[in-house]
Amino acid sequence: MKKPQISVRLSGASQKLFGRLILRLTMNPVLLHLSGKFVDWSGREAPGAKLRPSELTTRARLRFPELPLSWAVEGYIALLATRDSACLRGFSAEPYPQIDESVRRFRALSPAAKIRFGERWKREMRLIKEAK
Amino acid sequence: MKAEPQFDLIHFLQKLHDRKIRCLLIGRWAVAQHGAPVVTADYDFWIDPADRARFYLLLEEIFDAELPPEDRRNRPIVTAYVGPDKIDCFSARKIINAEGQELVFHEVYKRSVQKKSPEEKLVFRVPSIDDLIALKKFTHKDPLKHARNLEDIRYLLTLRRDLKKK
Repeated sequence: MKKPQISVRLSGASQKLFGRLILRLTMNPVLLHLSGKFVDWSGREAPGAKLRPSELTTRARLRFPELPLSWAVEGYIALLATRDSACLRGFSAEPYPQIDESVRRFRALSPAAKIRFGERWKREMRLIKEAK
Repeated sequence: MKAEPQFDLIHFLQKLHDRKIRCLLIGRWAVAQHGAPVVTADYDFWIDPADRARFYLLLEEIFDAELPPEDRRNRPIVTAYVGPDKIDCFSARKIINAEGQELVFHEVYKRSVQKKSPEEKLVFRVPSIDDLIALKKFTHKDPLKHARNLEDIRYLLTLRRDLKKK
């Protein structure tokens, strides 16, 4: 059985984020059926508790930045189904003043020390990626 | 077996200063210099168009960098590789961002901030916070890069607000 395909029309910020007007998603039929509880696939602007498709794809992209978009959307729908809002947050660094005080010490480092820390983090990130 | 070359930012910045090559460290490394503990793999420089050839020569001399053939080095964006490291070199006289803001190299350079670590003989320049925000306002097709840019802008705006309060 072929997976259903869905077109999502984007606007505003989501259009900027993806750099296009229409997105095409290939969805797992079970997850698509399940998503009906959380997503209004008609894309109407009417206010309501359900997410609009453009909103869903944007949130999915930020939550799973490294996955193909259809997978990211499927994953986000699965997370929506858990009803645990904490697991829906995107992966991104918090703005500096909101993060731990100890991290603020970074600002006090010399320019050379900042570069050395950056190089060390970069090497560590690379090792983690290679280990995957 | 020949060891893979490694890019060393501190050493490169020292050499750029020694040879008086006018350029700015931009991108996330510049955001980090303003105090944000952020990670990035690539290096971005905005080079004075007049110093472009000397910049590429230095990259080849020190790191044996992989660069495009000479007839293609006059382009405003050139990417160099040193081992696994990517160095994006911008040498346009001016750049227009997604909001139509015009950024001219000589003006941005004049407003830039000098960073110094005297014990390492390290002197280099990064754009001012306002100019760095403007330089981050580009739409990326890659949503991850776009999200990173937005995150950097949020950080820089917060920093600017904090500095104004002080």
